[in-house]
Amino acid sequence: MMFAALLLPDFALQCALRAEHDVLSASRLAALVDDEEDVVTAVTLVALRAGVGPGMRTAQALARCAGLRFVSRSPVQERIATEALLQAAARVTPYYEDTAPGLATLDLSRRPDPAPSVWAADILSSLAALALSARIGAAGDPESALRLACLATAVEPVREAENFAAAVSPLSLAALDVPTELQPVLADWGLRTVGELLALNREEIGLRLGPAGLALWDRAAGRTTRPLRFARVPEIYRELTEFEGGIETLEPLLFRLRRLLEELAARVGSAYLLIKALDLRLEVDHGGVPIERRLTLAAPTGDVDLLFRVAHGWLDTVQTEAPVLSCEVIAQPSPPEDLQPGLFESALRDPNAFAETLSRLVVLAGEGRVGTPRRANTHRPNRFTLELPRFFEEDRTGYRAEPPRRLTVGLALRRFRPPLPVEVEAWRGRPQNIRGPREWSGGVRTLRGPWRMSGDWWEAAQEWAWDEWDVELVEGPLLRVATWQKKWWVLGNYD
Amino acid sequence: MTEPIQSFPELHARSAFAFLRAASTPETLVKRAAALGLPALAICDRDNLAGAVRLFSAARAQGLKPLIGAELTLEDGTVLPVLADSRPGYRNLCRLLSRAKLRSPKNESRVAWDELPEFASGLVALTGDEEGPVRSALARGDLSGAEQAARRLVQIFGPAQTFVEIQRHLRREEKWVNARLVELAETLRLPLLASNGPCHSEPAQRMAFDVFTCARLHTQLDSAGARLSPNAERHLKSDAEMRALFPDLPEAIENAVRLADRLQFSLDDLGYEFPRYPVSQGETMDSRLRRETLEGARRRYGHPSLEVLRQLDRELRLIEQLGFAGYFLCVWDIIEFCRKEGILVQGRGSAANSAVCYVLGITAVDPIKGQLLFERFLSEGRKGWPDIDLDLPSGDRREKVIQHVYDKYTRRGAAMTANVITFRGRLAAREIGKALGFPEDVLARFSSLFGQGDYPHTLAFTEQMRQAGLTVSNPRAATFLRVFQQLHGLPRHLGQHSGGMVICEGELDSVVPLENSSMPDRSIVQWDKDDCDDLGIVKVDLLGLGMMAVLQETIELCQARGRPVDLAHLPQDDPATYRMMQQADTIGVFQIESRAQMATLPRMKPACFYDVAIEVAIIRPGPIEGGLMHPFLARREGLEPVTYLDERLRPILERTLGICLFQEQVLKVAMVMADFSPSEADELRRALGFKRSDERLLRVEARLRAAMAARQAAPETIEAVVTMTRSFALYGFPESHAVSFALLAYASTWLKCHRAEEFLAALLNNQPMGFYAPATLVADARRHGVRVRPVCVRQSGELCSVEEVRNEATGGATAAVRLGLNQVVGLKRQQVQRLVAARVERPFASLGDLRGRVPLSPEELRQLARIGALNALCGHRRAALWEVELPAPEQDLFTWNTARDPRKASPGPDPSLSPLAAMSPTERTSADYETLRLTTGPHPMSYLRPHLPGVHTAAQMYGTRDKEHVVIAGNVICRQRPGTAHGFVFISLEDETGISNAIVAPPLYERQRLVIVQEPYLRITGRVSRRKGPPLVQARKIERLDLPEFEQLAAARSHDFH
Repeated sequence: MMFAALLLPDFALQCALRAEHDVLSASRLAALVDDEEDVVTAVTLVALRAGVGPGMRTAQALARCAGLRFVSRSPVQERIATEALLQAAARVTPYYEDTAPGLATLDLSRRPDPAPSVWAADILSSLAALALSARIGAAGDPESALRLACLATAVEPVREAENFAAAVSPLSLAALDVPTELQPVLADWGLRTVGELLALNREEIGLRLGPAGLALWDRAAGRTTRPLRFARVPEIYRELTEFEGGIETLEPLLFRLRRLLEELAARVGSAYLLIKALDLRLEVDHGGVPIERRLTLAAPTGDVDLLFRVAHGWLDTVQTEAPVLSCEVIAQPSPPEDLQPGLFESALRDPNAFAETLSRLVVLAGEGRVGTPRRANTHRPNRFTLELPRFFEEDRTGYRAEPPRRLTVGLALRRFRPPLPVEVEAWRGRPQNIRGPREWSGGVRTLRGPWRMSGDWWEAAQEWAWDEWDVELVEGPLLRVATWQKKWWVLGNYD
Repeated sequence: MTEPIQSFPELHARSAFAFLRAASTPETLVKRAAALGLPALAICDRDNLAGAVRLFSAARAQGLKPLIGAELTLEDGTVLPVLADSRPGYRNLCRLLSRAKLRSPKNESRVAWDELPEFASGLVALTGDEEGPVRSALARGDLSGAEQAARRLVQIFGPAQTFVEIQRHLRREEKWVNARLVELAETLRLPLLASNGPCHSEPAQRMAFDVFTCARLHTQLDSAGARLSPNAERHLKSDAEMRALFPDLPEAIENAVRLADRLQFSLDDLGYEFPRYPVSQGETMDSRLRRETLEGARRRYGHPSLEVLRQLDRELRLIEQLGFAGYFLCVWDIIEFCRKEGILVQGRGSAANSAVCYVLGITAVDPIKGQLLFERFLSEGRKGWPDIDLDLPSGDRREKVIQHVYDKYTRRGAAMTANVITFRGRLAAREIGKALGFPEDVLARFSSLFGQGDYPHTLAFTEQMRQAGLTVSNPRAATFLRVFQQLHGLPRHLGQHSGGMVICEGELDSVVPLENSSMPDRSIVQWDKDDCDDLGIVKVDLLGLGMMAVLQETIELCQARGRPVDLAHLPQDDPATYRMMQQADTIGVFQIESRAQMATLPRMKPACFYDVAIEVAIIRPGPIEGGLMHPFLARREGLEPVTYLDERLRPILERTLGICLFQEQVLKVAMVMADFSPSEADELRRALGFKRSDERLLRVEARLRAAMAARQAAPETIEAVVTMTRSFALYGFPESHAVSFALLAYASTWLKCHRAEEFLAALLNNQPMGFYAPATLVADARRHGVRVRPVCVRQSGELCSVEEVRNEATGGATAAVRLGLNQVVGLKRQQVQRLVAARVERPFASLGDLRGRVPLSPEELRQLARIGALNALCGHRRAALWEVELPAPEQDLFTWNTARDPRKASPGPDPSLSPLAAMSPTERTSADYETLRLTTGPHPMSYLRPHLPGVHTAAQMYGTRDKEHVVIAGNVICRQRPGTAHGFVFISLEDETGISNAIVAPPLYERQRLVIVQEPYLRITGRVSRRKGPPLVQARKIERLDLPEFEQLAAARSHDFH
């Protein structure tokens, strides 16, 4: 035996169920759905027994099985499962291939004890611990190993065969990864299993189906071999520190954190890389929800002081309800930026310093309260978002938004945030007298309006509608006032 | 309408006919305008006048002055509103719109600035709203551009015909723009005109308007942002509200008042004229019609009786008096064209009441012999044109007639009528769901719960939402429901009416705008048939009837086989034909083949032609809703005595056993009981059939009551008569129509009975049509002993045909239907023709020979192989499938000889050498269904029969007792939920012996809705009901027919919820 296939069958379905904290289990009535097409793409065994199958519309599947649960693909879970699969492969041999989603092919030739009986149980149980169900096939070439893995079952999860042809004969053709254009032809020929395909003359197949047909036949016969494209588990720069009994103040954490960052920066630097982000995770006692945060840097850096200041800045804002048990830091590596500043561009000399300042401001002012105001795409006045600068993306595109053309230049409005609630005497809906703080009180001398606005009517919780007025008080101030649901506010005053 | 206008009129409203740019119908706008006291209302829809007639009719009823206009999309994308101030202006508007529409793809239109001057006369231009040429320039801050656009309009339309439109929607931003507009008006000395640019009648309708905006821009409410309306102010406003909005510009209001007063065009003044029929010198259209009529009478009757001549004279005099001779001659001309071209044609509708139509060959039923009421067709006081509908064979022959009409009256002189496609349940729900951002799978589930079509289902909307995965607690569920109610019924776009053609003496595009249909070589008017009818525009319905095509083709096949049939002289009392009807053995025949008809036939037991007419008429929503069907059948079966409401009604209702079934009878009842004149009776009939107006019906009803009371009719009789007439309000059926249809029903049954092979071949060639899928038609024919042979490249023609088969046992010849290559899904007609042409030249010697001579694609070859069409060349289907994958033979110097000399062609492959096993019977059946949609082999249920102990076959059902507990199973060929069945669903299951039917109560249906709707094979358990007609299973339990062998079996197409 030289090769093994480590397979997570029904990969997308497994991951989708895992995303719902579920395990692929024979008792589950579930189907994976392509949301765009509204078509079932994979089903659990029980659902299959209930008459549901891939290709059905969801309505038809529900007709077959009223208790069926639909799940959608989970890219996150698929990534996690892939990492787990590759890590499992790496435990067996450093020579493995990330062949396809849910499939790793292992070259066991340089392993002294290649037989699956030696290592398979450990690998299967470690994946099972991660709620992943795996199968293993072992054979003299990668394709045959995969065929055997497809033949494996939950009861007999490891398959290796002396007589390969006989073993794979009952295997469904679907396991051969038949090219799409050949599928209807083989179906027309009434071929369902590998054995039926192999019963046909190879040359006759080649004559009719061309190179793709020949390759298929060879794959079925286990006659192909190919060099593996070895993969490596993406190296994760992760460091963890644990506190015996937990800590309740920041100092010990900062002390340890600095050391973690130094180690990470050194590891990352040794690979000629810089750090573009830090993922921090604090485990808290009493089963509390872990606190997680990604701190993205304005520019990749290896500067430990800077990294520490950024992390420190965030930790300053963190309050936990229980002692912190551990702190995990994952550094996201990145190659150094290769940006060449233009001759006449006034790019930021030190984006990280600027970002650091901004992050401090965020700490002081709060999330979403720092940045460049951008008018929101709505009729609702005074509705804007604050965008933090996206340093390098902006520089690269060279895009500069044109300022909106202003049709009028009027008086400047000083907005009150939040608006000031006031009592208003109105006649036929028109404000006559305002009672509020002293400087904003008095009789209305002149007024303009109403300016009527409303929107977001499709969701009661968001719906808004008000009338605005510009009023000049007898005392002189020029105000913008608004009414909504029988309440009045002063929105601001004109200079 | 002559009183001067004194208060604010709205001169720039849009209706829902602006298609996704406004959210209220013209009727709703008018109603609201009247409630607000507006004196006039102009609707300017985008690039069309589709709502003009509705505006006109509704406004006239409400006492409002309707004004006609449109928004023109200009070449630069700006939008110019124009109003017609006179008939020339209206004509110009129609011609301009027609020109822009006819040169553009469907749903698009662009008017060039340079062509505006040609059509400007009689039109008033407004500078428009934010999409207008002036305001859009201002929005860009382009002051000079705005002035330039305004000057251009003045140049084109003149200063008296150009108004600077000003709108105030309580938006801060509009202040600056409006100030510039006022300055512009002063600079150019143009009048200001105030409008509110309403896009909906009331503020609440803004929701539907915003959803339309999302649909138009392909976005969602959450992301549409500033593209949605900023507030709900674009609704109709009263004079007081508008004056309050423009206290500083009273002249803008006054100018609107003056302009509305000045605009004098009315659709009454349309200038429509029906084409004059060309006659020779010294002849008039009347004399020509008389001459043709008398000649026709001699052809029909030989020596017409005095009664016939008297009736013809009476009709001709009335036609002359009403000025309809030209119309009759034009229709006769179409008939003559059909006759010359050998196209079967038959008039239906009320024309069948006319002896003139009969002798001219327009209709096929003798109204004198059938005692049909001429007044139903024409009467002295009649306002509109008579209604002549022509049934033509569907398909190419009908298209030939339509193109003949286009050729004769020119492309600008004739067009099809429009059909307004509206937002119904499924479409409305989908559009709203998309706007609200509901996931696609939820929308798909919601739609699937509608079943098919818009039947009045019993699933509550909220329950439907729940089942689709939308809980009531969803924050948008309530919105979904509210907007659904607003959207439902609003127009979505203009389609094409199935057959209505409008023709015109002058240019039709001066009367109504024309636009392209989605079908090539077709154009449509922007009005539907009711609109045309309202304005007195004559419409000739050229309806495609599948059965006419079947009859024509059957006759041709019979002729070719030396068994000619003369449709006009079929024996009218053929016992075998009536026996077939009495046994409900009517699958495939015209009209009386539906499940409901078949359930009634054994009770009705038609024994003469008039019985067939009654059978055709009685299974209709009108008679069923009106509770007429069961009393009639009870009387027919002798279970109930035949009585009359009044002895005077006996002669009228005698033939229908005292029950009023036909419209003609309603007319006669009104004439006898209330002394209505023929025209008054006709007005009653029109009111009963007029879907849009309840008021009209109530008015006529009141007149009927009063007239009967004046003639001392008893109050209960009056009430009974009124109730009797009201049941026709939904779908009254004219006797003449029933008789015309009965003719086709009888003829098709006769052909099924006596020319079964030819009839089946013709039926298959004209699919889709009728109630049943080809698989069911073939299965039924085979049960009747018709031999059906599979598609074969050596034997099949382009179409299904009848071939002679030598009977080895008797030595004689029998007939068999040979399926045509047209039945093969995926085989293009052009390829079929090539294949047949190549074979006619020389038979195919082998598969290689075929491939060498006919360039079929690999997939086409596979299709032929799958269904066994290559068996004659390859042995069996799999052997053929194996062979067709070989590379195509190369055409080189050495294949030349082979191609021309079959003796040199390589022999076909030896099937015994094929490495593939032949298909199993179930595989063959599946391949047949997938590729042909039918099979000539065993019915799929026959394979399952051994696994279904205790399950009754359809044939065994006839031996069951009332209330017997049974289980039936089969391929679902029809699911039906008639509006008259109070939510009950009918399911037809086909097996190898026939069709069994089940009825499902609403609660069970709602529980098992998805199983019933989605599964192709069902097993139904229940009790037999045999009280009324054939056995019907009252379903208690419905489940998927779940057998392991089943997964491989394809199913016939089901005909659902039509």
